[in-house]
Amino acid sequence: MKCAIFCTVAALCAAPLCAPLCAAPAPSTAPAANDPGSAATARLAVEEGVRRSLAILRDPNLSRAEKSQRIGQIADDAIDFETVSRLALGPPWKQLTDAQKEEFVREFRKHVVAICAHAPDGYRDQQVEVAGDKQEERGDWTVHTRILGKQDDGTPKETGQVDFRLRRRDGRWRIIDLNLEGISIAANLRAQFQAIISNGGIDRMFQVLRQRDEAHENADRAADKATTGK
Amino acid sequence: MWLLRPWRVGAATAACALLFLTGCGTYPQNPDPYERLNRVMYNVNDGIDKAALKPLSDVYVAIVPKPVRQGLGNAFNNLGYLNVILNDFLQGKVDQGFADAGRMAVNSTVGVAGIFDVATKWNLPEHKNDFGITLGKWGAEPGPYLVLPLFGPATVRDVPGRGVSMVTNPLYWVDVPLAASIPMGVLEAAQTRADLNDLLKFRDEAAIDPYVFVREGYLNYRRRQIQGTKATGPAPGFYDEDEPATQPTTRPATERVTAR
Repeated sequence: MKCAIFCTVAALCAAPLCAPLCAAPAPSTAPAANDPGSAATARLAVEEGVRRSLAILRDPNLSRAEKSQRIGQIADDAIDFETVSRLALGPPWKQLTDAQKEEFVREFRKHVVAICAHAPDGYRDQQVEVAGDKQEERGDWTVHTRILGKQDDGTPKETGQVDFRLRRRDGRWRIIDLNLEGISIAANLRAQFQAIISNGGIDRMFQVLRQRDEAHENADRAADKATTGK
Repeated sequence: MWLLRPWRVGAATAACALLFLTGCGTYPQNPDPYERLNRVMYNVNDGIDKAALKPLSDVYVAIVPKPVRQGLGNAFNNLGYLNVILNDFLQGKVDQGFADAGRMAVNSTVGVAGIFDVATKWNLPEHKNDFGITLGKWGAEPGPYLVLPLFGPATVRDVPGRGVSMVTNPLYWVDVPLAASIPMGVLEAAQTRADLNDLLKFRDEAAIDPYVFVREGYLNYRRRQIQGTKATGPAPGFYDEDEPATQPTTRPATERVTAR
């Protein structure tokens, strides 16, 4: 009777998909990639970014537009949008002209920032705790986090696990992917872009991306109008 | 069975037939050979959701207080728990099977027909398990991706599990009068949709191609359920096919470093 498939998807949901997305680490100056100290730096970057992002999302005095704007600032520090764009687009990236690459990074950044800033309320009460980290190929670093929600009696309960993959560029650790319970966001995005490009080409892909960003902006405006109207 | 219970054995038989018809042994290169048909079904499901399920669950969430909703959700979970226990044993997880049987016993009695989740407090936490996972652990390939009417994402390997979860639900064997089973079905639909609300909101917010977003997420999630943490990320090479290496490749990614 219980819809098991829906439940498995619901379990996915239990991992707060949004809060970690917003958990954008602050900029950090890191020592050389092989320095063991770099592990601690990557961890600190994640901890700090989570704290800053959640503080903004929980601030009741900020409008949605303001939240988007401030989350955007943190995201620019914390996320390597160019690398994320290449990873998310995959092979078609090489076919883009320089102007198209620039436009893609710009539109894609807007999309990511909007997702972060619009985290559902339910996720904002959760705590993110760094649980460990490990070195990856290419000098990347993965920081494991556990998401802790509150049970009815107030005790924390793990609701999900999120891994941040960071890459060091120009002396800074920045996020290049998120892994939610085994699901790589960049890989999921690549599959989505591939589907759109194979059906409608690069132009269609840009069109869809722009439409998404417009929808986000309209949603921000509508939400702020609704609150100030009260 | 969820909204339309009286299929009973017919559904289970059809599920098995489908498994054999589609060929359980052949694992296609393309995980989604029926994409066109699946997209149609996806849109039908989405239409039903927007027209009926979402409004239903919004009303449900608005008028039913949270503790009551939680109790109902617990009770529905408890009814489906025989399925978890059975599959624990089928996978040879004897200890977990007994623990889950204890959980169901405690919640069915002390927890008043499963309404109160006493077992979690007694250190008998909830597990997820189903026959699709069992088949995967036994070595069956997922087969083509399917979007089932009303139930949503699945693979061929998951289809027999629908039948197993149906017949392991005690209510299946009891003649519940229609006057009771319809409201229960509606309640369960509302409760299930409410549980999914945050995820679907996230889909609507984040997805660029929602169909692919759901498919990839589902396939990944099931792989992880079956293979455990071995299935941790994208294919090898995913992180460097995009650009020439700018960083020296260092030690292989095996060790865990503790904080200092």
